[in-house]
This record gives sequence, structure tokens and C-alpha cells, in this order.
Amino acid sequence: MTRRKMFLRMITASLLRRRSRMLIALLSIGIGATILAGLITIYVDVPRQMGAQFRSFGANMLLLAEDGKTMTAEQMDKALEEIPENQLVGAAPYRYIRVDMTTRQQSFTAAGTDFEQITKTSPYFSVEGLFPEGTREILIGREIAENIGVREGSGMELTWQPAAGSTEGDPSEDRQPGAVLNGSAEGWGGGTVYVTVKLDQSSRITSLTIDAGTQTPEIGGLTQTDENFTSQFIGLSLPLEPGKDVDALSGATVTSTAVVEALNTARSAEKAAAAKTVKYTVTGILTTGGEEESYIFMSLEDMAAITGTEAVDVAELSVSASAEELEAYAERITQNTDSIRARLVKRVTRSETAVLGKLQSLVFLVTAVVLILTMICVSTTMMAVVSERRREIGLRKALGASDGSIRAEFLGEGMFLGLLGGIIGALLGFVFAQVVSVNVFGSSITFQPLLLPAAVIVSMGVAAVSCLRPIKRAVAIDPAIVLKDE
Amino acid sequence: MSLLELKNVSKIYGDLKALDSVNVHVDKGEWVAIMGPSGSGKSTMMNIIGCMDKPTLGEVLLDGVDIARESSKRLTDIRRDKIGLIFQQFHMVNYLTAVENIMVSQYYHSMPDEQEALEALGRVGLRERAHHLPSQLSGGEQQRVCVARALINHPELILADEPTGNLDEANENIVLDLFAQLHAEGTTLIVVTHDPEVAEAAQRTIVLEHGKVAREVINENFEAQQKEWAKNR
Amino acid sequence: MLLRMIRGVLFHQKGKMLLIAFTIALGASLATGMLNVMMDVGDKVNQELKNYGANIVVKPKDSSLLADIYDVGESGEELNTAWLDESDLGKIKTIFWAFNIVDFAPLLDTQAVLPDGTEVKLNGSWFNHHLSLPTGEELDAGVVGMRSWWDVTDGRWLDEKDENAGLEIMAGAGIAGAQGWKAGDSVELKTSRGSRTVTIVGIYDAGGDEDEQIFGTLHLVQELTGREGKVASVEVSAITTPDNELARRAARNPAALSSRDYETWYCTAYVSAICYQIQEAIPGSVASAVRKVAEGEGAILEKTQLLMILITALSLIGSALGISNLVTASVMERAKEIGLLKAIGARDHSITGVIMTEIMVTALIGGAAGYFLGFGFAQLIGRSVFGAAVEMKPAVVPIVAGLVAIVTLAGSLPAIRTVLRLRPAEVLHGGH
Repeated sequence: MTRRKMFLRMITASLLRRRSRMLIALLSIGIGATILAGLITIYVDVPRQMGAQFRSFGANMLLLAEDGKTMTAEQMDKALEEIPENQLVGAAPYRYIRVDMTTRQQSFTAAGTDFEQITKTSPYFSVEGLFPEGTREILIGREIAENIGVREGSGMELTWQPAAGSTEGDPSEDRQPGAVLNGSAEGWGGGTVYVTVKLDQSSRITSLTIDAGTQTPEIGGLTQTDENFTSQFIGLSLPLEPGKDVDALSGATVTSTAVVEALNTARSAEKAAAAKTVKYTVTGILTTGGEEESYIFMSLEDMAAITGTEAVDVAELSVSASAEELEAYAERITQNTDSIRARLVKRVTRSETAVLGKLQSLVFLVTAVVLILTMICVSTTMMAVVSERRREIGLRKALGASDGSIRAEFLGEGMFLGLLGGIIGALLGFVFAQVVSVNVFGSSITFQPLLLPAAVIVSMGVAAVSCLRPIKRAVAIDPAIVLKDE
Repeated sequence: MSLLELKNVSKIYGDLKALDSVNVHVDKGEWVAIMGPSGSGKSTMMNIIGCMDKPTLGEVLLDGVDIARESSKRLTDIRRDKIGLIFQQFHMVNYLTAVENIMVSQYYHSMPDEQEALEALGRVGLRERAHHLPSQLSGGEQQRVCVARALINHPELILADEPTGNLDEANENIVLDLFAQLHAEGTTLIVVTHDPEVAEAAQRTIVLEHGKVAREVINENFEAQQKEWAKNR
Repeated sequence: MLLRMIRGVLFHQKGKMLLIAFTIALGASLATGMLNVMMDVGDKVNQELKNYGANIVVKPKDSSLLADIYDVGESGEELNTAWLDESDLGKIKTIFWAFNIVDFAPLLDTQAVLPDGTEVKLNGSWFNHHLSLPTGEELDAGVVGMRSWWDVTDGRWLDEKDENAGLEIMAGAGIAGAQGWKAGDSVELKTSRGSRTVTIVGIYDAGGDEDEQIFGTLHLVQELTGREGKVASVEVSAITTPDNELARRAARNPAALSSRDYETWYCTAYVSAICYQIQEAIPGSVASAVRKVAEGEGAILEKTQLLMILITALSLIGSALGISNLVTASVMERAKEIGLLKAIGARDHSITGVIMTEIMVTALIGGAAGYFLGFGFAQLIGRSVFGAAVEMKPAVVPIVAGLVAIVTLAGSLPAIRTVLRLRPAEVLHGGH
């Protein structure tokens, strides 16, 4: 048998055959290791678990279109690619327009959005009734509901007017191919000049027919047939200025001007017709205690039906990630997508970081306190062990054990205890952390494969440090005194 | 040939002289008893001879080396190499078996050797109890294991402190028989005792009183005792 | 006489008793520290969450829709038909839950036109309005506290104590960038009622809509809109208890509660209760929870407390095991003494009595020492993590005392019983 084997046999026999103190020491280490392992697992997992709770505050990142333009769904999707799928809780697009309530002469802000996403990005929305599901169903804020006395199930007629001169809701976008516009204006001698015109998607004239029957046949009437006159209109976009954009037919200035004016009215008539009036059903009333209570909410599809486009103004994102990760995503999005700027909602991200940071500190400190207490407890127990084994130590010394031998033997026992305690602690601690995670956050903890070896090493370290003073005392034992003691 | 020599050895604690200028001489192969009442200084002498304590004054020559001048560390080494100890309370490591207890002594000396340990147990008649824990052995059996342990490293000197103090008569005889055997094999024995019967088994008895050597008593019957013992084996 | 002998035999082991007292102190200190932190963590986290801003908003009861950013107010079109009185604001701090009102700020806004024709929303509010309350509490209320996430990137916060405060504004980073403003610049603001030249004392980065707006004192906006003494709404930041079933029922209709439920609800700091009390205090007002903030706070508080409870439970179990462990062992190792006493004729119950007395006295000393040590731990944690003292709840004392007592009893009685059943011979001679 080698010396090493004998060493191991002495150590294990000490632990396994003597119950009493060693078991107590093992228990102390085991308890300490369990608490430590549990706390460390929680410490590591708190940001992820608690972080998910903070999503109930709503969006922490906004995607904005550059320079007050709008952004398309494709652009939004491209931006969202920068964020890992498992961290993106929700992304709700928003389009804001002004609508008038036809029966009441009152204006409101309407927001077009994706209701499914809203339940994720704004979980605090409280709806009396239901979220809209079908077409022409809307959600209205509580303030509006109270103000105009609208309830669930009521109908509301809303009109949208595109602002003059704006590119918003350009009628050309839903202009049917082959659609024909009519216009008229007063010409020579009080007679009306009529035009029929076809425009392409860019509002350029593709063909035109002039009815100048009321004008002087040989002079103004020639506008109908003179090819030089009519051909100059092709390819031009409305509105036009007479004398500037086109030349009048010689001698028929008045009629020529009337033709141009008639064309212009054809265009504005189309625009006037582009104002949309739709009747909606209110499916629910929204309470939030915030500014949303003064808005009307409809689906993006409904909004596109009246504005002609599904482009949006802003997207609210709810992302479950640390402050550093969020900043990185925002920077990448702003750099990599031309038309989109990403911005963090400071109010939300700041507070989240502050609270999470405090919670982690708290768990950390508790862990440190437990660690110190465990060390003291184990140290005390080992001191008692040394005390109890005075005679055995004296005997060993009498048999020729050197101080180094005594130290090695006790340290060996201590670290063996640490090993056992560490394994027990890691397993139980993991179980505990899992129980906490499931009951508090409703989800499992991420298993840390490094935990087992780490717990064992820490446990052995703690045991070793706790043994230092006891070993010092053991080494100081005088065999002569101890062996004669009765 | 001289194995152990104490020259004017004193051990002084403040005002108290536990040993007062003591001179003792032991030859190789001798079986010497040291007797005296409590407080006579025999425990102190035992500790000094056993390298567990150092005298205040005087020389202690063990095999020619003055152990009074050595460091504690060196003393441990000497004790380990040259002396086998047997105590009154038959100290054993209570969570190791009989054979393991002997192997502990081997371990500190050089190398544990289970075979040798088992043989030693055989010599004290406890081969079948090799794997029993001390709690499973009687007092007499435990002391015999201690004797085996004291022998295992072939020490020059066996130092026994009241070896039969806690034993009944039957077991006492067994142990004294063992000592007779050891003596026959040439082992030097020093037995500290307060029991006259135990002292009478030895060749020579040194009597201590109040820290001084009062007298030495030679055992006239020793040869006869040994012969008797040899016959009864 | 026998008793004296018994006591003599047992008490002389002072060292061992000290050891037990020490271990009990350790266990008790962990329990005390954790319990106090656990009971206080809710309040501490709540305080942290106040960084999110208002969780209650107060508006005039009869208001029609507030003007929002798209409405042009240049023509003086008044969309608000009702106002709150500035003089009523102090009453917020007189409600039952006044102590929980951490901060609040009145708001009054209008559209202002800048020299280049751009329209900008001008908000009027308090910044660091000092209130000296009859209760003795001193409070600085206003935007400085209610907008804690603003970064002042140029210049400084507006200080109401300045004599020129009435002609100062703070501008959001967005509008400041577009206009090329720096701190110290002057700008003329025009409204339908008049114009003022104000100085920009600071530029803030809010990370939100407010970056496109400007903020000035309440008086400035009141003068510019002719609404002296009036306020359009008030934001309130209150420490609340997370809602439960009772609170939700009450929020829907307080009148429908039984009188006992009503009292429970009224006397608990639910958001709905505080809103109700504010409405009682300020005439003509309606107060509602800002769901976004209130719900979120509730969720986080609940989870944090649950987490702390579980961690504390683990610590308590650990302490209990440690203490009972040691107590049992210490009794077992005195088996010899106990056996000796039995052998000389002492009766079981007197032995038990003396040992238990000794153990309980030790536990008392250890427990008391542990309590104070635990106090230290709790304060260490409170100061390091939250920068504030942890409130020591009196309820912790009986809990820890009870824990130590039960655990010590559970650890010692069975052990004593076991030892007493052993035969003295076994105990005295079976030596280790």
C-alpha cells in the first residue's frame, strides 16, 4: 500500500466511520454551499428574469423615419433584423392622422397600428370590450368616449382629408388604370370649355380630349383639333399655368386659358374626391390614464384603405435586453438602415437599469454575508473537531507525525468535506433556484454547466480557509500533556 | 552496551523540581522497571526518555546522541525511528481497525505494509481481529494491539507507561508474557509502573522518590522467571 | 446540594457554552438581517421606481379633450373648458396617504410661435417649488424630481428661486438643435395673448417627445395664456401597494364596498385609494392611475418581494439547521457528564431541567447578540444597495426569538432524552 493510499484511507475513514462532528461539519458546509449555489444562480439570472418584468412598462426603443418622412413595412423589418428574435418582445407600428367626426364637427387623432403587437408592447392597455378584429372596427380612448358619449357597439363616421399640397395619401396611388377625369372652365363669351383627361401614376397627362363647342369655331374651337396645341399637354403634370407651361393657340388666348383651367379643375376634383368618409363600429373603450385615452385606434389595413398607404410614422419596440445591448442595437439600426433612426426611450431604460442594478447588488451582498457566516460556522465546527480529537492528534504525534503531516491530514479532511459539501450544495442549490424561478417568474432558470465545478471549488476553498485556525491549534498540541490526560 | 544514559538530569518548573539531578543507565537488551508513587517524577522521566519533553538541566544520551540538545522536530524524528511507545490508556485511533492502527505507525515511519502489520498482530495473538474497530475489542485486546504497534518499526527501545494499569489480571499476564517474549528477542524494555508485581517481572527496578533516584533493586529471580516462561510457551 | 453538584459539573464548561452562544448568534444574525431586508425591500424598490415618473394624473372633472400637439392654438381656440386651481395644489399633501406622495407637478401648456414661425408646445410647471407643510415636512416639488431621466446637456436646470425664473425656459434637445439654440440664448415666444422674450437656461435630452418641446415656469405660461391661477392637470408620483382583488373592485366602484372592505381599502396605499383621496381633497378634480407606470410598478414590486421572501426562507432554514445541528451535538458530547450524574443518583427531570436552563440562557444571550449583529448586516445591505437605512421592523424580534427558541428546543430535547436512556456504564466507559 502506498503512502498516498494510506493517507486517503485515513481521511475517508475519519469521515465515514466517525459520525458526530464530521457530519456536523459536512452539514454546515452543505448548507452553506446550497445557499451560495442557489444565490449565485439567482444572481446570474436576475437580469434576464426581472428584465422581462420591466417589459410591462412598454416600449423601450423607438424607430423613427428620417426627417419626418414615413417608413415602409420592409424598412421596418430590415431594422428589426438587428435584434435577436428571442429578445424582441413586440414591435408595434404607428401611423397618426387627423380625422373629423362628420356628425359633430370635432377632430381627433387616429392611430393606425397592429393590435396583436400592441398587446405585447403596451400590455398595460385596458380595454372595456374587445380589441378590433375585423375591418372597420375601432378602439376609442376613454376621454373621447366620455366626451362624445360613444359606447361599445356604437357607430362612428369619420372623414379624412389629405392636407392641401401634401404628398400624403396621393390619389394617384389608388388611381385606377384607365380612369378618366373631367374638368371644366369658363371660356370665351361665357361658354364652358370641357376637358376629359387621362393621367398616369405620376399625374402626367397621357391623353386629352377638349370640348370647346361653345367657343368660336374657327378660333377657340380649333383647340379641339389643333394637334400642335393638344400635343404639348402630353407628358406634362398638373396643375399647369397658362402662358407659362403651354403656349396658347394663336388668336385663341381666352379659350386656351380656359382649357388649362379646366384641366386644373379636373385635378382638384379628383383630390376632393380623395377625401374618404367611412363608418366604423366601436368594439372597445381604452383606459390607460395617459394620452392614449384621447386617440382613436384602428388597424393599419383600415388606415391604408383611407389614406392609400401602409407606411407608418413610428414603431414602438419592446426589447428584453441589457442597457448596453439596447444601445448597440439602436446604433446598428441607425447606421445600417438609411431611412430609419432608432432611439431609446430613456425614461424606461434608465429606470430599468437602476432597479435591476440594485436587485443584483442586493443578491450579491446577501451572498457575501452568507459566505462569511458559513466560513465562520465551519471554522467553529472544525475547531471543535480539533478539540475533540486532541488525544488522537497527540497519539499521532507520539507515533512520529511531523507538524506538516498533521496539517496535511486535517487540510485533507477539510477539503474532502468541501468536496462532498460542494456537490450536495450545487445540486440542492440548483433545485432551490429552480423552485424560486418557477414560482416567482414562472419560467425555468438557464442551467449553468459551470455551476457544479464552481460550487465544488468554492466549497473546498471555504473549507480550507475555515480549517486554517483549527489546524494551527492542532499542530500546537503537546502529546505529552494530552496522552496523560484522564 | 549502553543504550540510554541520563546524566544529572533535572526538570524544574519554577520552584518545583520534578526531577532533581537524576542519573540513570540502561544497556541494550535490558528490561528495566521504573517505580515510584504519584508525584515521584516518573511521568516526567518517561516523557523525557520518550522525546516528548526536554530536561532543564543535564544530558540525555540515546544511542550516543544527546537528545536534550535537539530541536522539537528532530525529537519527533528520533522518537519515530528509535522508540516504541505503549500507554496506559491504550490510545488507538477510534475510527481505524486494528491493522490500520498499526499501519498508521508504519505510515509515519516509512511505508505502510499490510502484510507486516498482520504478522505483528499474529505475534500478539490477534490475527483474526485484524479488521475490528477498537470499540469492538476488549481492553486487553486493545493493549495488545498497541504492543504490536510499538514493535512494528523495530525500535531500539520500548517505553511502556503503566501498560497494565487498566487491565484485569488475566490480561496483565498476557501482556507480561509478551514483554518476556520481547526480552528474549533482545528488545530493550523500560516499563514505568507503580505496581510492584509488574516491576518484579523486570531485571532491575529503579525507584524514584520526590524527583530523585532513591534506590535500585536487582531482581534475583529473573533468570528463573524467564526459564519458567520459556517452558510454558 | 445535589443541584449544586449538578450545576458545578455542567457549568464549568464555559468554553463550550460560549461556542454554542456564538453559533446561535450567527444563525440569529442571518435571520434578523434577512427578515429586516425582506420586509423593507418593497419600500426601497418602490422608491427606485419613482424614477419612472408620475403614476397618477389629476385632471379637471369637466374637461373636454385636451389640446394635443396637432391642434394649432394660435387663434386662441380654447379646447379646455375646465381648470384646476393652483391654490388647491397643496391639498394633495393633506390626504390620508400624504406621506406616500413623493413628488408632484402641475402642468399648463399652450402653443407658442417662434420668430421663424415654427410652433412649439410650451409647458408650464413647477421646477423645484418649495413647500413647507403644516406637518413639518419640507418638500421640493416639480419637474426636477418628476423628470429624473432628463440629461441636462447644456446649461442648467431652471431654479425657481432665481428672481428671473419667470422669464426663463428650458428647451428640449430636438427643438434646440433645429433652432440652433445654446444655453444663454434669448428667444421671443408669441402666443395669442401676447409675447415674451425669455432666456434659455438649459437644454435637456429627454429621450422622448419632450425633446421637441420647451418648459417654463407655471406663471410664465399662465401670463401668456391669461389663465392666472389656473392649472390644466397635475402629475403625481406616489408610493403605492400593488393592486389586488379588493383594490380592483374598489377602483370600479368604491361605493359598492362593505364598510369594512372600504376601510381596509382606504387605509391601504392602493393606487385607486390614493386617487380617490386626491379627488376628495381637490375640488372639481378627477384622478386616475397612469396604467403604464402603475401596472408595471405593481408587477416588479410583487416579483421582487416574492424573490426576497424565498431567499429569506432559504436563509432561515439554513440558520435553523445550523443551530439545531450544533445544539444536538453539544448535548451528545456531554453524554459522559450526564451519565455521571445519573450514576450518582440525580433524577431525569432535574438533569433535564438544569441542562435546558443552561441551553436556554445561552440561546438568549446568543440570540440577543445575533439580533444586533443582524441589525448591522441589514444596515450594511441597505446603505450599500439603496443608499438608505433599512427600517427595522419590530415584528422581526418575536420572529427571530421564536425561531431560536423552537430550534434550540428541537435540537436539545430529543438529544437529552436519548442520552438519558443510555445506561450509565455504557456512557462512562465506552470512551472515545
